[in-house]
Amino acid sequence: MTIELPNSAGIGFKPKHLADLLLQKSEVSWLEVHPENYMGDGGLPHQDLLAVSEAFPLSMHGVGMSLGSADGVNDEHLERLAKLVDAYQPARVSEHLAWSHWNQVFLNDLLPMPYTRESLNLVAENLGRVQDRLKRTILVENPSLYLSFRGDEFSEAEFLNELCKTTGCGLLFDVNNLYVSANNTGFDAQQYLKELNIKNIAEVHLAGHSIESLPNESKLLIDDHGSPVRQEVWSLYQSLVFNLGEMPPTLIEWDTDTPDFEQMDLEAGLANQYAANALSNKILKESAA
Amino acid sequence: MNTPLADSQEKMAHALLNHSNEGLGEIFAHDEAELQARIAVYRNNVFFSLSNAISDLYPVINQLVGEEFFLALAKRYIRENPPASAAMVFFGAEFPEFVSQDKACLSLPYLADVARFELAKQHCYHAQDAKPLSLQIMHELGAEKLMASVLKLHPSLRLVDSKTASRSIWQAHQIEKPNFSEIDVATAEQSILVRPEFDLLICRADAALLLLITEIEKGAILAEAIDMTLEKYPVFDLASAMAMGFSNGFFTDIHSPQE
Repeated sequence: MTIELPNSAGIGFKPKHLADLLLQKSEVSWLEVHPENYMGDGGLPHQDLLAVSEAFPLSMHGVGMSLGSADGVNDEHLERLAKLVDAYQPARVSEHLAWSHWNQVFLNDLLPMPYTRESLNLVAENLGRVQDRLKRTILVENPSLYLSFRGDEFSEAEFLNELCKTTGCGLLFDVNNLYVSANNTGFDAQQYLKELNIKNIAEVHLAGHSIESLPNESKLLIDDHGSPVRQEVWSLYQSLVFNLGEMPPTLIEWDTDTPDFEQMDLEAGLANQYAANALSNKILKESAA
Repeated sequence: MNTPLADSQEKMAHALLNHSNEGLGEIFAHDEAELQARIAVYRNNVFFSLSNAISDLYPVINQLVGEEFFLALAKRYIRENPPASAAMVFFGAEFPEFVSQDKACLSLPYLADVARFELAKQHCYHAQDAKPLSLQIMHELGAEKLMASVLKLHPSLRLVDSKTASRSIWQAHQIEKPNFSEIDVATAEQSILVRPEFDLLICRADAALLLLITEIEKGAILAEAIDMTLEKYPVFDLASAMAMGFSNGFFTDIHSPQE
């Protein structure tokens, strides 16, 4: 790996932002792409990706590996990913703690799995195959959850700690997903962050969510990547940065009704600013002690 | 025998695709009403993302039948042909055939042809890049050598052979307020799509040119491909066809047959 992701803000790459990204000085210092969008053989998508990969460090964030599938990872998909990783040499490759396919049917969503010993062994095995094929460790992202399982044997934080320990993978920690899942499945986000081995975090995601109501009138938060990051999520992000002691590479995700580059740049600037504030608070607190 | 995890994934996959929550109560820790609301988030994600993928691939079909009809059609398609791969670029390839069989679409016979045109466009757009031969080469080589050669087609080249006016209907929908009252939809149309660099070219063709290109694709020597074509279409304008092919980047390589 020649280029690392910088400890500053990045955004998800959208072709409509290409000219702004290449021509303008901005708060954005790295980009993330979904490899699934570049699995065709050629044409404009590859031309665009080549242009941005020459100008920015790249994170390849998969949405289709289905690390949690009981019927294993798909070899053809893994080969396609390996080809892209080889061609574009991204600084980071990541995937989700989720499953998407069953019995040759790909459902195109990140579906949840129970936190059991069986799941842990299965994800570790699937992840091991991916890492062996790519000849590098990858990052795994915590999911946004809308359902609770009966019979969980671990908390999510314990599960992720174990997974990192067993496979050597790192964490892509999504703070919005933490906030959404804590609300939707009823756990305490601060407690989770105490349990989680945050040393495994190599990249952070931030995004907006929307709010719906359940039949009992409690709130269900939807991780729709369609609005600015909410204040509660910025607060959690700041306490994470405070505890990490440095700003992790931090991505702003905005995939539904993605705004123009100016607003993406503002959000990226906010991430840089909130992280800097958290770090100066840490220095102040330490020098006061 | 499924493991507990495999069993839960089988049940959830079935529940998402078939709008039934059978067997989910024993997996998830929610009462019936809440489970319904929570599983709906995932189900919406599945159908929303996949119908968006179909709509991105077939925008003119969407315009022709209207949003509401299209969404219902896309949902029927997704249920019968869920994707097998995570790479959405491969999803939706069976849609034209599905449309040709779908009862609700029978009154619009040109619909499946326009869908085939849009699919060809997608394949052309994502095909392997290759540098085309220039018109110059045809002149340099001279007629005799050219006729004795085998031409290699550009990897992006796609032929669309329609019994209806698929290209004209598609083109009429590239402007804000489409008006295709002037088009005789029952006219057969042949098109050749090719992307010599990054811009996709749509060429008006006829049955003779399609036959010629098909023969070239099979690896025939150019003289033989031309003979086949002239036998069936004696008035075929060969010179214009070859000039069109070379100037639009149909070919990427030329070699003698023994090579």
